Amino acid sequence: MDIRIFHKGEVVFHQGDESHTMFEIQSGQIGIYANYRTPKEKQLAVFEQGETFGEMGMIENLPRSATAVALADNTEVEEINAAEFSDYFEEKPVQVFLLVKQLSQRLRETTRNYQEACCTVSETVTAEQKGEERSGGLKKRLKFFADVYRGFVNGEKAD
Amino acid sequence: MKQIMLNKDDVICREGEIGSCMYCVRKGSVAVFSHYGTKQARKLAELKEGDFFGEMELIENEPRSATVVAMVDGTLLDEITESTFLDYFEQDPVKVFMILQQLSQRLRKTTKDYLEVCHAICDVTDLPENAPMDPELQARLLAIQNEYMMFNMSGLRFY
Repeated sequence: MDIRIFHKGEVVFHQGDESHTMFEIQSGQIGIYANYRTPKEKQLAVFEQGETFGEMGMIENLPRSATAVALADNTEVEEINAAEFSDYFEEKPVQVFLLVKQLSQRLRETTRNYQEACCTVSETVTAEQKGEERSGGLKKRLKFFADVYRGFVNGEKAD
Repeated sequence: MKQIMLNKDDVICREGEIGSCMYCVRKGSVAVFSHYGTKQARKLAELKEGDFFGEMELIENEPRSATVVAMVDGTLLDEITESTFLDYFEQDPVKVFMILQQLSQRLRKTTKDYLEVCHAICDVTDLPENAPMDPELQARLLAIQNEYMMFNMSGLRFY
């Protein structure tokens, strides 16, 4: 497992890059950005020592969905690929279980959001069929989910 | 590690019940149903050797979101409880990677479906409220409403 060190402002990986590895922060800080260095740039998250990022790359080998940038000098990260995962797990099972738990939570929340979005559509269809005006609550929910989509189009993650 | 052997149509877990274990299919296959045993019963997925299910209920203590039924005689499952969870994965770290992959895939699919609904909602909100909707948008909304009506909208997506 490689150790890599970054200066403040250095990019660890770019949105769209091929990916096969995850990272654990040994020291320093990492910022995750959508549309980095463009007018639509948005910071999505900040990770600290002990936290992991980029897991999806190692798990699914999909292109990076965001850019990771070191926010402090001497930001040190450990890079782990799929072949090294068993070793990583043996060293740090708790870290890995946390990851399983996080994915599980994200799946639950996304499923719940999905259901609420479907429910909102259902209410909208019913209101239209009955020729009824949309309630204030329904309008709010419609706006919420419309904004989620617009955010996604701008590169923000939806899960 | 506990294993259970099942015959065709044996029920492993029931929708709505509080679950306390997760399972891994070792031999045979299982089917996942919404509203099992009623007229609205609908098969959501088939799981085969190597597939995990029920991890959400174990990790998050949620009630079972579907009924899972053995599809063939001689279906063999690993049964993993909270107390055997650590040992089970420590004995075979490859399984952790597999469960991460499965969770990740399910998350990606659910996110995609969620965004499709948000997209439809965004198209709705782009129109003035009483403006007529074009047939294509109407069809999309109706399809979403149908899906919503058919699912038990209370939990995890299995596929």
